[in-house]
Amino acid sequence: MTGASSPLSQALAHHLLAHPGVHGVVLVHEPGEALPEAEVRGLRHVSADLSRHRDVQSLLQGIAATERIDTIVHACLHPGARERGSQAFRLNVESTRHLLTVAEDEAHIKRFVLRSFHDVYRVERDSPTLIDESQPLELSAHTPQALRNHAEADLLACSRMAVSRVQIAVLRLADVLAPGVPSQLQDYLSSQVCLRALGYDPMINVLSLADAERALRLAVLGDAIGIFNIPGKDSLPLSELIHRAGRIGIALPGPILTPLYELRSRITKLRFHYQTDRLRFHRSCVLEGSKARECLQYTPEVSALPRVR
Amino acid sequence: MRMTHRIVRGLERALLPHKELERLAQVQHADEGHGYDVFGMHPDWVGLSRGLLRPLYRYYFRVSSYGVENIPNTGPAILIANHAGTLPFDATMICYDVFERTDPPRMPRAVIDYFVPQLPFVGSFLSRVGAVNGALANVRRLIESGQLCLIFPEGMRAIGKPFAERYKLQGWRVGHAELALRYRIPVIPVAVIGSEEQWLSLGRFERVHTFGIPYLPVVATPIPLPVHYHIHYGEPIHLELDVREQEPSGQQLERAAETTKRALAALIEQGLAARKSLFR
Repeated sequence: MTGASSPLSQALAHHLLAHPGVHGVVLVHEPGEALPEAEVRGLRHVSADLSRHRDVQSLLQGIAATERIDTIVHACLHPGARERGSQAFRLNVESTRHLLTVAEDEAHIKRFVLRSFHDVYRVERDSPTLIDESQPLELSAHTPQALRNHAEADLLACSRMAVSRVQIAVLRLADVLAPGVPSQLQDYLSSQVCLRALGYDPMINVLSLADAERALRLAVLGDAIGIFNIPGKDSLPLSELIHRAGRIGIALPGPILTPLYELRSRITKLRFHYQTDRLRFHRSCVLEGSKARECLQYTPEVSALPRVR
Repeated sequence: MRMTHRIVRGLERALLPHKELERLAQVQHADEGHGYDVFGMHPDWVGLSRGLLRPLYRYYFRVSSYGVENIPNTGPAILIANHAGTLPFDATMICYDVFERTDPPRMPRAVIDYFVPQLPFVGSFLSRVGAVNGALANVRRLIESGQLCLIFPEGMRAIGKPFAERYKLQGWRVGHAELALRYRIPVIPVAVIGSEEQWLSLGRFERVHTFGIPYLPVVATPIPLPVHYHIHYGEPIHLELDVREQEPSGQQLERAAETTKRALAALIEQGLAARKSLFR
């Protein structure tokens, strides 16, 4: 399981180890991250640079083979909207490509689960409020690189689905609202005063850490192949979300929000990038989760909002 | 509770009698956990809009309606209506009237054009009171959850049709027929008499597209005329797929849409013949 430092991967590893059908989990850390000392039974920590093909090969032919690992959960796509440059591309897209290609050569790997994002979908004026899995992906030239990277990694996994020996499941998760899980919405709500576009109050869907972990667990333990939207239990207007998160919402004319947030991020080092999600702050976008309900038996159960603070 | 909510609820209670509030509580509402449905509708906002529309419905347009028994008490159905009048008072009057005259009360979800949600304030307000953007996935969800959908197959451009073309159905789209065939649900034609003369259109600025609007209308009077609205609900049309077909073909859709168009045109003719004058 990649993305070892994320609370989502840690929660998933913890729950998987409690499952009788799982004999062990290997958590893959990024190079430079300190590996935890105290080992939990069945849990191994390793470090690997997933952007390097050789490292991925060593990982899957080494510890993954000796530990008889049969499923890869790739959950380390970087959600930071400000990620730019070739390093961001390597971390997101190349790592997915390496994992997929090496996994196909390793007979012990049977299943590949990719944690993708809701923001891979293109939002246009005629987009429905409810976004199902057939909605086009955001790959246009003017898209910020962070989003394009997500869409490209997602598309890579989707394109291998029909031809690969490995069972591939792509889970497009709504914004996870939980401390330590990086997401645009979490970054947005991290400041005391949240600015939003005057005259617009779109519906937002948020996912709790518990539901995100359960969806991934169901995908790991099941045998469903395909793309699945994973919505959360809470669908509410942006203004209501700001209020429930205990923040102060101020509505300002839309065109000044981009420069204002740019200025703010330079002064306060705020990670939130308004331009990336500009359309989502104008148009309602809620993931439609009927396919996950049918194939993964996933229905959202836990509200994310008590955890927002 | 947020200040906006307090104001909305306070206004709703001030504007609506107790009985109406009780009826509002009976309306089908798929609460997603925070009082809103997935499209953003909130019962308090629906109540507020009813309070605001009440004087228009009762005293300004003096709406009379006929054949409301044709609307099923439960389950999904599609209402199709003629569309005109520069601003969609016809949609608001149909929604108000159906709620008013059905028991248990039903509230049609008006399917609106793509550009409307882009309008600041207007888009948010309409979604709070139950309108839904006209994407297929949205309407499917409404039907699957057993709701009434109000569709204007003439589309947005018909709302500004010239006076000389009033009550002539134009640009008939087939989406409603496709949904009716796929889900095997009834289509109920709704003829709105009065709306097509309420606001005389002198022309339009075709090059104005602020917030995605298709054009800017030029009207003869600052407010619509107090015409008498007559709303006729026709008998349900049950469109059937050919027994050999699983999916409706293009030709079948055209034929099915033509059937609904003819039914609505006939209902409009009847309505016009029965009307005594524009203001009575």
